[in-house]
Amino acid sequence: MRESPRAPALAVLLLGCLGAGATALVLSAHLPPAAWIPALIAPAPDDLPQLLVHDSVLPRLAVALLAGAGLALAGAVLQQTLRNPLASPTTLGIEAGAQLALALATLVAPALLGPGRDAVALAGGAGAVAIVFGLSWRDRLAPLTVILAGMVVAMVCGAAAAGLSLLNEEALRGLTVWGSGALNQQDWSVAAPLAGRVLVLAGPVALLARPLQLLDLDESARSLGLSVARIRLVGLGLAVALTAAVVSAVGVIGFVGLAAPALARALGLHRFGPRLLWSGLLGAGLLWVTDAGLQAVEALAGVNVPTGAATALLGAPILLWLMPRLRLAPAAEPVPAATPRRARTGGRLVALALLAPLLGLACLVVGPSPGGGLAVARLSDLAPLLPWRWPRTLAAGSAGAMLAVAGLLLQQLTRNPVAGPEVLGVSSGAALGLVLVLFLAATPTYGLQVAAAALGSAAVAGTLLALGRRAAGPDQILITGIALGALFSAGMAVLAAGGDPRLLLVASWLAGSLSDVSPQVAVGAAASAAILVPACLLLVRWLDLAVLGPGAMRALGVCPRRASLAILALAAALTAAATLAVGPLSFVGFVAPHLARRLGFARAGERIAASALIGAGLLVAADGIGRVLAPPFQVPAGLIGTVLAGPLLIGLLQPGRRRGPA
Amino acid sequence: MAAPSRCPNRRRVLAGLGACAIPPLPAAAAGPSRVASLDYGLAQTLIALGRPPVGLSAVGGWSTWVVEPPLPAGIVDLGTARETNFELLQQLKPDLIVSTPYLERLRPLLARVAPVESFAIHATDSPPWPHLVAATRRLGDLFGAADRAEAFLAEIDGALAASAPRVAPWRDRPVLLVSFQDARNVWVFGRNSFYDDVLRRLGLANGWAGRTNPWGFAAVGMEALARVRDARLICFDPVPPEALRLIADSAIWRATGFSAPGRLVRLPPVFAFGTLPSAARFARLLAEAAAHA
Repeated sequence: MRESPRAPALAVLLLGCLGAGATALVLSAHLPPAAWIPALIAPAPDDLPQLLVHDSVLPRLAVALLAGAGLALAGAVLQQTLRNPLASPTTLGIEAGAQLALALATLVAPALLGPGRDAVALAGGAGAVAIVFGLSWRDRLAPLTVILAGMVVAMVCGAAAAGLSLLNEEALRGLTVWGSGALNQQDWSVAAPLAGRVLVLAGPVALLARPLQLLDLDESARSLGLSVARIRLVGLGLAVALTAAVVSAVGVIGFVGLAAPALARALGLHRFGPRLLWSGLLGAGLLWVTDAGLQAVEALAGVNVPTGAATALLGAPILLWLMPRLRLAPAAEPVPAATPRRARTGGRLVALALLAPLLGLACLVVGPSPGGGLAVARLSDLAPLLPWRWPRTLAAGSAGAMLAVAGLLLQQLTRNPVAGPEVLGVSSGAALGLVLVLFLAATPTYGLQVAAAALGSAAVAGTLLALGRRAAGPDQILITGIALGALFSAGMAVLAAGGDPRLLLVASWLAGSLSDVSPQVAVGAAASAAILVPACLLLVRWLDLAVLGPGAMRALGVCPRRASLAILALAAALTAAATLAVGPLSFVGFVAPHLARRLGFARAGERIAASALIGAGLLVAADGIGRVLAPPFQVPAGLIGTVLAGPLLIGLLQPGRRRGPA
Repeated sequence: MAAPSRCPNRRRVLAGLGACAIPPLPAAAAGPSRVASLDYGLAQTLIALGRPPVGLSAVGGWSTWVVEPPLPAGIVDLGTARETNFELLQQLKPDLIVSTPYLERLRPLLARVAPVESFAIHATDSPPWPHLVAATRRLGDLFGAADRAEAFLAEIDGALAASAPRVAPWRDRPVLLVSFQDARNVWVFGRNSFYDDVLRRLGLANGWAGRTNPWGFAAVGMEALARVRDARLICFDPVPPEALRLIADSAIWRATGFSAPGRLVRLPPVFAFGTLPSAARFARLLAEAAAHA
């Protein structure tokens, strides 16, 4: 069965023509066409336009082609190795991991960044992949679980990097530029080494094409004497190395590594060998068109958009378009309950119900004092301080409870242990609303901001619900949420690269800061929690059934679609209400339901209550820690929560170990 | 290791005690006596008017980014501006908080502590200079120190007038003012930045005619600067070493002449969104650099 290379060849030709056209436009901004050839071959050393063409336009073109091809190859290898059409350097968190590693190195060991820059990026990327595998191992690397875990890791790494830049704004200024993937060049000192690295790594990738192709045959590969595990490991290693080479050279270029191989597949290339080759060409073409197009826009309209951010803007719609066309295996099996033993949980529930308010009380009386250090406020001094402490504590508790329950609903609904409200995209919608108001309104009053955030989250939730009505599975909805989130982050990166200082205001909210929660917002969050959390108890039966799958639901006379719509709507409402108060970031929603399960709460009803209490306690504690960790600076609760929750989540999802109740 | 880490703490405690012990201004002085500033620029003018704030955001960064005027001891750090530590602010018991429209979002919260006065200086889509002068006068009026404000304005005019002849050697070509983001990307300051106002007052031409954001700068790749012919490149520290290597080695920069002697000038940091003390500092640093070139 030979595949025709005609369709991919046409696509590459088309991209080439578009790219060449845009590049010609850029060149003509510098030089008349007659002077192009001498400028390309041997520019006169004192002719500035010729030099700009030779040392800025050309190396930038080379970098775009190399980075596009490198990321596309990495994506194709990852997709084949993991048998997962959604795998890519972006969706597995490799880019984000490398970015975080480089940020850390900038702060802690800048000396590493000279010659060791690639190694630092490589270590970060490999670390991210290792964590993604750790998270999804128990689900046998089921495609969607891997992608969800990858996006979670990417979010955590992004959060940590954001927190670092929040506290070290000036030292990490360059990282903002780099994080949005600016490809502009002023000589060949980036392009030349990148060419070397991509070519050196492309060799072994080509050699691996055949063994990787045999992975499609699974059993027969083994009988042909191949070590499947070893081939996969080598493939992964090469993909991570390719990504790290590109990322350390030019920064984060989102989604090319996903789009190019997906395009190759959509163009009818089913065998891996040809798909690998054409993916590389398509990737180079895609990035060329994007980058040259942006340069043309800059030359014509004076608007400077960094290339990496733009590819993410283009890539997210591609992900959305691909979604219904992919036949994805659902998560392998229902989430195995870690401790299904029916323990007597009443006592534990009472303990949790006491613990959460106690934590809140502690946060009310302890705080920084102007003399430096911490102080337990005396009763007489407390009165003026309480109006600052109770709103944030109440908001943290309410939002924590709501996020935890939203996480529980989503995990039950999708039967996916790494689902959570943060990946639903609802929080991104709220963030988008807020940002738009900050940038468009003449005087962005607080009320206006709240309204815009509410509208934004409602819009995303509505989109997801509409999608749900059109019979998309819960997993598809989650991936859509992720794509919307990525779209939002890309938009933010575009703004950040413009250097607009207004962005700093949003940055603290994005990082989950509670310091400026007003009493109204706090009371609003508490009221929402008081209504929405008990409302979940009405869905207890559906939730218990949802775990058993649609078949069981239908057998028991429940319409699976209506049930999942109701659950999804409630989860979206919970997320929106919580996001308004605490921002889009906090991994309470992932962790609290798992903790509740570990504590032996098995039935849906008591798990809702336990998750809510645990979530409330976690976020209150995170906010309290953030307040007293390094006064006068306040570390946003979302960042503290992420740093606490990340490792906790990984521990909770560890395969095998600690089977029994602890 | 414990001792050195505790030292700054003890100092902070003493500083805090000092701040609480600052006696109220003499009865003759009208207006608020305990001012908190969420903005470096406004704090600069407050100090210049002899009414240093009792609390300020991000005190630690002052000596790096603002430098002038030196910060009096005992000012309590309120955390970063956008993550203001309201509890500390409350305990300082200020009777006035000065802020900018940039932090408007925080106004309802700040207003619970003390009256808030907001000053629109930068990011108004117009040259900041008139706003700088107006803000200085308004602060003077608030403190019943209008004379002091006028004297300070005259002082600034004098400082700029004194710097103007000293930059004469640099009137031969336009200047480009850049602040590096990384080795290949810069903020270049143009219209509506207060640097630009100072350049005009000194009779220097700003080479950047391209568009800028409301704050008066554009984020561009370095190669965009190559289109400005024969300019003098003035870079605010810190400059990444990699950028210096690029400018020295690459063919583009050899052709633009930035790598020629005297065409690349490094200046110590001048706060880009500062007030008149920063303007005087910028003018003086320019004059010193031009004189030494």
